[in-house]
Amino acid sequence: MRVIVADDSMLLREGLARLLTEAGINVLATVATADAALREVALSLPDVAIVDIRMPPTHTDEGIVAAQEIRRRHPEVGVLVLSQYLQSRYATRLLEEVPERVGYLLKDRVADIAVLGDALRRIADGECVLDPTIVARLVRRRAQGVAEQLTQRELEVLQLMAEGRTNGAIGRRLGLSEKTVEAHVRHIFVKLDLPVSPDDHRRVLAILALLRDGQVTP
Amino acid sequence: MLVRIAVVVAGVVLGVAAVRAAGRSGGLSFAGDPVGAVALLVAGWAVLAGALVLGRRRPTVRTSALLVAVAGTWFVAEWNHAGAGSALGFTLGSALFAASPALVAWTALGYPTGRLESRLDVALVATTLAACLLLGVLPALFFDPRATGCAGCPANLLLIGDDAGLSLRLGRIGLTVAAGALVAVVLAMVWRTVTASAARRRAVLPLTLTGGGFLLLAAVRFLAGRDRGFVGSSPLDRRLWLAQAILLTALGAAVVWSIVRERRARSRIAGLVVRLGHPADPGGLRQSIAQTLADPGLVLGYPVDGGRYVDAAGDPVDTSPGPGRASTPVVLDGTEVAVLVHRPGLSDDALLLAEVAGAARLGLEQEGRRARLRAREHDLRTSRARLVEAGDAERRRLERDVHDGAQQRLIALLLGARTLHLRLARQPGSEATAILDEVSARLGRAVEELRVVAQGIHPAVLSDEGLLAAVDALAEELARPVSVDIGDARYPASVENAAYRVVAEAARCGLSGVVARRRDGALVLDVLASSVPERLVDLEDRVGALDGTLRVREEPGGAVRLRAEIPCG
Repeated sequence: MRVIVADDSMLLREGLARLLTEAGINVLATVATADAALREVALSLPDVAIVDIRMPPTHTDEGIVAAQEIRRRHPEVGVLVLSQYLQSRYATRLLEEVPERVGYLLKDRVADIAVLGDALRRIADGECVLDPTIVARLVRRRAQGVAEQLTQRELEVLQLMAEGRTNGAIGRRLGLSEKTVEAHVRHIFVKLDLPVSPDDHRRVLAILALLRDGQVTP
Repeated sequence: MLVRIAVVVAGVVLGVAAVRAAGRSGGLSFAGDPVGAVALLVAGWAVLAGALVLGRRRPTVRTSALLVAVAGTWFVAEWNHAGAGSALGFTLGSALFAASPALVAWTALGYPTGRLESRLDVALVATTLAACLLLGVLPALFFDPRATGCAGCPANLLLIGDDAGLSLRLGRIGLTVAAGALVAVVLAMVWRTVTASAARRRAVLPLTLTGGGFLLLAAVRFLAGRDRGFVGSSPLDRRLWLAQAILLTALGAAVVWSIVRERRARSRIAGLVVRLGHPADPGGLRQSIAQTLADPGLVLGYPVDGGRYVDAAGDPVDTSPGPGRASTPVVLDGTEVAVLVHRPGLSDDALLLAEVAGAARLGLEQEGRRARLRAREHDLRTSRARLVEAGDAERRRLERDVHDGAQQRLIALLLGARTLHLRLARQPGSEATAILDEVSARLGRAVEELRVVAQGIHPAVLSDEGLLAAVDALAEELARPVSVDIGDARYPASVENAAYRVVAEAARCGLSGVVARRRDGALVLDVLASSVPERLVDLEDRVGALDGTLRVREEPGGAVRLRAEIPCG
């Protein structure tokens, strides 16, 4: 696994790089700005670029913009965006444009190497990853509307789907067979009136939209 | 009072006597026939009426006396004929026959107070008086009516020696000089009127027209009499004299009319006083004064500290006059109580402004006090809002510092600890890993705690994403589920901060629901909790500093509802 790290704080940049290296991940370069990140990606073509959302000059959404640029220019390079706190609007923006090979994690999670490593691997495999905390918050917000219609098990499956996991991964998590998970997924889609799509990535979007706004965007 | 009765009686007596004298003049006097008699009497008594009306007010007493003199000399001129009867009468008539124009000139130039304003005026009036008196006196020194063959004529008490030729020559000179002086006076009057302000022109114009006309006619008569050497009695002269009588009547009427108009203005002021007797709402005083002065665009400003002016409601007001307006300070007891910005014509009528200021004195002082209080209230409110904003800014800065400083360092430490942990995990020496585990755990907790502290100081997500995101994040930390119904809308930073504080305080007391809506340009926040927040006063202060309100109500079932309405304008 080859990655680059982009974050304007030197402490975090170097600390994260060291941690990743120790975990056996090859850190090709560390940079401090979005432009430098784009240059490095073009130069070294890593598997995943880890990018902080807030970077100079405005410290608002440079990371998202850089992620979109990277995905546009180099579709085979994945992007993991790190954010200080839940910014669901940015998350959906990221996923709407590039629903593949993209991840959105809270920075709090960065020190947990297990979660970080798992996210990097899933992104490199082409999935999209959403921080479970974000999903949990979204689900809780919409708890009333959605929970009325689904069983507890179906809710769990929905949450894991929203995190971007595959049916197999969901089954392993919940101790179910993949076939059972598929059945649950079909029920959920029918109950919530979601468009059936075999594409894992698209379904994340649909579920996210449902959780955020209470309705499905076509 | 006695003086007035005496003047009236004298006027009547003199008038009647003049008519009788005219009747005996054998056709030489214009007042001998009924029409002339009526003209004589009406003119003289009209002037007397004007004198009586003016005599009531102190400032115009001098003019009043002048007008009495005008009426007197007007009547006395009728004794300038053989039928005068007494020597005294004849002498007076001869000496003073030309005096009335001079006195009218004095009256007109000095109107309304009777005081002459400039040296030029004094010179003109003195010259005219001198000319007219001398015109009567000098020839009379050398004129003996008996010597001209008039046996029944009375004696001339002024006679020095009979010299008809000298008398005529003196008369000619006198007529020319007097006519010139009168024309000069008329020119001065016209000039004054034309260059006066609109208000003054209105006041002086009737007098200028009637008085000026009278003087011009007199000048014409004088000039017409130059050939003869004395003022004659031809039909032309008679017509001129009748015209003079009409103009003199008009003059008296004009004087009376101006006083009537003033009385009406006074009654308007009296009406103002009555209106002011009833307590007016702020701005009512301005309206009353504007109505009284007939100036709807009147601006009334009260002075406050710092050289500013405010209106009755305490709001700043512009008291610089601007084009076409004038400003007048209202000064009572030496201090400036208010400033009026009005149409320019009012400045001339100083009397009216002074009366209005006096009538409105109590109201002005009271409203001025209230206006100053309101202005101070306003200042306090803005300063309070500024303080709250400064506090908010400080908190934001503090949160930034914590985030950029301590938090970063702790996370870096945590990363370091994890790194070390990984490395050690591959090697034997489990005690080290156990110790590291503990260190990592502690660091993790420290990071978490610091994050909570920073969020307590100021949640960055509030500035970045708005109230919904911040309340969501807050609700997430709580044990009980919270229903959150807030739109995506953003509000001004200070409003969002205050609203967030309310929710944050309620979160310590069993928060169960938050609803926020924008309504009528204000944020309406409804928070349900299980008990009243401890620091309710702080919340009220914060919300109040933004001109908002915070109400607490007990709901059935024991819950507590906090409703905050904060204007966003």
